Amino acid sequence: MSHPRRNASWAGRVLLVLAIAVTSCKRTRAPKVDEVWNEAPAQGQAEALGGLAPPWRPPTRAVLDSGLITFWLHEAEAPTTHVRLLLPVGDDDRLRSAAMITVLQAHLRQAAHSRAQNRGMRVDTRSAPDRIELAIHASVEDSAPALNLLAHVLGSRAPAAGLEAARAEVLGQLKDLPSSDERATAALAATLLGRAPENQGAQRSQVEQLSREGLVEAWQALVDPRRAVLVVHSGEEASLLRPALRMLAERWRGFGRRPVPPSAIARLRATSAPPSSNGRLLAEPATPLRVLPGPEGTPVLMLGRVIPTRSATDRSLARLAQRIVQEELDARLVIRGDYGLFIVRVPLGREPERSATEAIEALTAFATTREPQQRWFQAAQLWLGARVVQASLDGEDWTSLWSDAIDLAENDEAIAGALARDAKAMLEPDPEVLQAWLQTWLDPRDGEPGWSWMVAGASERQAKRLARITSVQEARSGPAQE
Amino acid sequence: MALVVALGAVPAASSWARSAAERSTAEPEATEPSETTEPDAATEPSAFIEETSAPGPTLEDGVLPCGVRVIIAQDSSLPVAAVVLALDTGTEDDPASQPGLVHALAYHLLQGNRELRPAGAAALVHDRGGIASLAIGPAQIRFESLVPISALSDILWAESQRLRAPTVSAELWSSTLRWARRDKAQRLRIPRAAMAVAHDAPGLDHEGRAVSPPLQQMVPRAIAQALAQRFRYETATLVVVSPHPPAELRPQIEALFEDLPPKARTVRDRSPRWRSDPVPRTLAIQGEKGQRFVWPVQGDPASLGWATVWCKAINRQRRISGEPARARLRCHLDVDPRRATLVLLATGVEDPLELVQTRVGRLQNGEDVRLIERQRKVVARDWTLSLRTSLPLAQRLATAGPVLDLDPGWHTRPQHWLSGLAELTPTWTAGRSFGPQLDPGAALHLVAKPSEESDKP
Repeated sequence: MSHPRRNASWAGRVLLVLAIAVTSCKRTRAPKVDEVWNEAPAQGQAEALGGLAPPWRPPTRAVLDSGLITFWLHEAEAPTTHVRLLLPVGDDDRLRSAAMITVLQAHLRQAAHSRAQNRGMRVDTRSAPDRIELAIHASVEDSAPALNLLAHVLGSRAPAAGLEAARAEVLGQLKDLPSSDERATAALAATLLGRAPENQGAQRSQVEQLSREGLVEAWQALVDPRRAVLVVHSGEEASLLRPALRMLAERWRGFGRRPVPPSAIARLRATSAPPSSNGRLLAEPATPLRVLPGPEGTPVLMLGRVIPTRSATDRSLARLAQRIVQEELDARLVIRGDYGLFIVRVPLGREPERSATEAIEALTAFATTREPQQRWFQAAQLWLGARVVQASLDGEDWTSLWSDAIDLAENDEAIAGALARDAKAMLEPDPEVLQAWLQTWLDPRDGEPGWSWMVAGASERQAKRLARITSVQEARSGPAQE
Repeated sequence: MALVVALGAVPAASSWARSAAERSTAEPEATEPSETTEPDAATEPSAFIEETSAPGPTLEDGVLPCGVRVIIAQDSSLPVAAVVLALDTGTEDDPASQPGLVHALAYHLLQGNRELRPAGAAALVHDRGGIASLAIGPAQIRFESLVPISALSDILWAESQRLRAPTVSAELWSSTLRWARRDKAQRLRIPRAAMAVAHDAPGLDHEGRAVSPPLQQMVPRAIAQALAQRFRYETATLVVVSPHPPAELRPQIEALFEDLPPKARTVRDRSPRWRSDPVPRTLAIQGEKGQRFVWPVQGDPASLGWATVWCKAINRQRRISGEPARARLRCHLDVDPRRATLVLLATGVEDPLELVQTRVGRLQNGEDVRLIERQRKVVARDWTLSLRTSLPLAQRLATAGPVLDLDPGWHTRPQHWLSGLAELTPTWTAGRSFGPQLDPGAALHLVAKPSEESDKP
């Protein structure tokens, strides 16, 4: 047994030596040690998180007489009803213009809101990939009135006056000139999707040029039950609301003959994956940097690519990668079924060529550096947690999550389990597969070609400086110029 | 997807914190004291229906041996949990020599303790994708979080630690005051002096969110003492709303607090003291025109709900024959869970009191029964929608009337009773009593201050 006092004096001497050592050799910076922390996350925790999806029972699916596909999500004792209508806009020529879609969406919101405001219901609209959505939120006692409201709004045959009012509202909100950010984003998305740039962002002049007949025609093309999908989340069973659904089918019918896609996925995902370009950034074959004409402002660079997301694993890898890249760069990802758009926004400072090079170097470094597995797990945990927390803040509306799930599913049967599969795949990434995926799709220099980039708001001097690092093209901001 | 972050390195209090920067320095001129009616001992909602007959889901409500009240409700719609720790203190409890003390101390509770690093509780929430916020009011402070269900245990643990010997140092206090300074003052419809007189709470008559010079001079020992005095678990209420059945969570929560010494629960009664005079008492304030009448609202959800209904009804009343063409009565509610205030503004008439009496009389004698019923339905529907989600439900339950005589142990109680929704459910019928609310005798009439007095330095 050691003597406590002797131990104390020994400890005192050690401390004294340490203190002398510390003061005598002052270290200006911490030693650089590569930290290896690659523990697999605890399985129990991963399983608990894997359930980060709503507790959905299999929904009731029905096709109404009018051709409308309906999913009914019943939650016992829920005091509310959420009705969400998904209207595709991607595959019809009349609905290709962003200006047209903006006006139609404004009219949809106005028409529904004017009928809902005195009945204790709430209405909102949102844009999703190639579709617009109208949501009505009501107490469960008002389930039938909510469906009736939908029938009134959509059954209206020639809402020319309403469309004109919506156009006026849109014109009142649109700025005279879009910002550099908006122009660059619209141009890059158009290039990546192989579409006309005016289809990606509404401009004032385009809204003004829309004809009254064109608006009515587009409205009729938009609100066609044979192409739409209805999702209802309610405390009521679907069987109790058959009369209201029947009335909806009677009052709201489509015009003329049109092909009727048999599934929700087929309706909402009518456009196929865009063709990929053949370039890399700052490497061969090099994609030229396009400088958008227009007013000088805060210059911004947008770079991005199309990423294939055919399987749940691909989607979860893309999501995780975006989450981690986001810690350093302003990275955005929109997944739309079997492909997604990955876009990075880079504000250009006084030395634009340096900002651009640094962003590309950061992406390359990210794609080629092996991250600890724990870091991926934390990123997945945060993202999945934030998804359900946001859904709760948005009113615990399952139809909104169902809409997200549609973008993650291969067929209608897979929609209900899509979020859970997504969560599971995100929490259990295979480090080797992940690394290979990153190098293939997110390395702009040595990975798979398919990258594009745009600059908006740059002055002539800034464009010249950018020309030092790559070839620069003056762009009309349209696709297929390579 | 946007991640809502209410607290981070630089936290910000939520908006209902009471403080009005604008109003005058007018001193209230109290009129003669009059008779007051003592409030009931129990401050549960004034019952239109019995608690036992309230429909809907139930929750567990209990007081643990350490004095903390715990309310556990179930919401299984999404895998998320809301946790709210509400403290029965606020800016009206500031000492006169240290305005802003409670507000600053509330921020200091984010600085952690032996178990939590500074801002550690908020980081626990944010790292799991959740949101955390702090709400500071005149009579209640709430620490709120909404997290995915997998993080519930960690957050419950953090809340069971939050009040235990917070870390205090001059450096941390300085950063606390920096956070506190960023809170903006909220504009109120009436001067704070009028609020203080209406609620009979002199502590309301100051800017509770200011960082005053005495706060900057506080030494760590004084800060620690002030924290220990004001933030105690026996004055706190912990609300948990999660998909777990309440019976499952009870043992977990009991275990988290079992090492604290037994304490009797202490709750301060902050109910308004209603007057029973036939005419309103007056308060002279500079700049007033004698057009405003003020009532305190009892600090429970049901009373606030009915005040909202009446206010909406008054704003929709039609002018009756005999009233001047420009006669107008507007109602406004300054919403706060404990210190809400109802304000009527009568304009376009020579005698504002007469207009108030006529319009309120129409509500009380049943002439506008359909109008009230319509507004009741609107408010009930709004509440149904908002209380559907976990965080608003937890916030509402945290503002449920402070029960003064809750027996020890757990009680199964109707959720809608505590949230106030049950009181809004029955149809409004003619002849139902308004209570002292809207009774002209219980009002405070804001009148002009005589010019010679206002000229005094």
